[in-house]
Amino acid sequence: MVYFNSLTFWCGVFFSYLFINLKVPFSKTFSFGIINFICLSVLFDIKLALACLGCVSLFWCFLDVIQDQKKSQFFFKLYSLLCIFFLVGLFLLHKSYLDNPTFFNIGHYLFDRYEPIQPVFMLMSTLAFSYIFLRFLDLFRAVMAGNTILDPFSLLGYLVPFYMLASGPVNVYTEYVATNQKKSIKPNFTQLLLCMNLITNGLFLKFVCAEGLRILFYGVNGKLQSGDLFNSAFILIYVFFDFAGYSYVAFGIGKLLDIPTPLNFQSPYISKTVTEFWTRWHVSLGDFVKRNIFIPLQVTMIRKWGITYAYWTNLIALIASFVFVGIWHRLSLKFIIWGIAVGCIVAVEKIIRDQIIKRDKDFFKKFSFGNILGPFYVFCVIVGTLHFAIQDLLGQ
Amino acid sequence: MRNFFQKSYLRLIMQTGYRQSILIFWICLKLILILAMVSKNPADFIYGGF
Repeated sequence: MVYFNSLTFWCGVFFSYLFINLKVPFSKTFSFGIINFICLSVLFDIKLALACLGCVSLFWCFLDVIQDQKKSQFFFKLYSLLCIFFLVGLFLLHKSYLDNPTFFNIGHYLFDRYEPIQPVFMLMSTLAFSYIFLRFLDLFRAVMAGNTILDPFSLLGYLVPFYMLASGPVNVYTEYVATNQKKSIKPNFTQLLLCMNLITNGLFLKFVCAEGLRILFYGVNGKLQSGDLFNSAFILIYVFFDFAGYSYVAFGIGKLLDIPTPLNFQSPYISKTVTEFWTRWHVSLGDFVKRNIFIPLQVTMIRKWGITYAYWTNLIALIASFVFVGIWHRLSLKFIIWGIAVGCIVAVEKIIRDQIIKRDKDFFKKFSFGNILGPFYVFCVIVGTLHFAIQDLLGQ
Repeated sequence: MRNFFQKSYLRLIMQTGYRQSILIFWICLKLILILAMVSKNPADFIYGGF
């Protein structure tokens, strides 16, 4: 795992900045792909970087084959389904190995019995495959929609970016491709300072706020604990500083290298509803789910059942999306129930909101008390739902 | 040595302007705090495991 407190990592960022700004006759994504490959080799291992490049090249070949089959609808659908099943299967294997669930323990079963596949599991864990899986899906859907397939080095830069391994965010493939057409900004001192400011903001949130709070409550070597509601509330605050810190650092480095990197947190604790909270917390995952699960699922259901059931399909797609989010976090029964619960809360909020707006359009403008009550209600709901599944989140 | 730093910092202010010098000062302040915390506690990525 990449640590932002290692000097090698920051040397990698510095040399990437120099390399990206060199006048080379390559596209921006290819330059980034090359330097990303070098950084992965230095930070981890040359074998690991080569293995990643090999996997990405295989996927690149497969995507090319699928695109060639567009004229024959049967093979196009068959290959697409095969690809999705393979990716989802790999993701479930990775999660079952990592989370050790009681009901689906195939990952550990395979790991213990078949020695040759052990390095594959280790590789996926080292690179935080859950994020890479989301990028793979985004890339797949974008290519199926007719977007261009970049070369393997550029794809490696998109799928396994060295500075986004620890905690994402989930970048968008179409935005990544668009960087080649975008006019690059000339490096200047002000831009460098602003990026430095973003990076240090992130490091400050992580190492001073999150770790400072942890030391204050649990001691220098103390670990986060589950148990009562106070611990759950503390974990929620800690995770915000920790995760937002990492995301800010990635965002700053993305700005520095001029590689599209979404901002993951937009003041989630000022949200007035749980629905709003999920548009501000882990934004890149929310956008991914909206783009690749919620909208396609709803469109498919409307096509099947007709527009008269549009409202109900919306609610079903909402709950299904949250179940996916739950499974993505932890492959456990508790997190599946957590996903259903949060999905139901958001669905109920939507029904209530729609009913109120039907009767009085300006209700929420007049309801000024909601500015104070809203964030309190959101915090209580999030702590309450998380408290149920906190042990699985911490792996205790 | 002290004179050198004062002179170079002044030059930086003159070159980059008032706002940028404040930003440099703010970044340095954060860096000092971060380094102090990291040296005290080489923190792990606790909320990980994805």
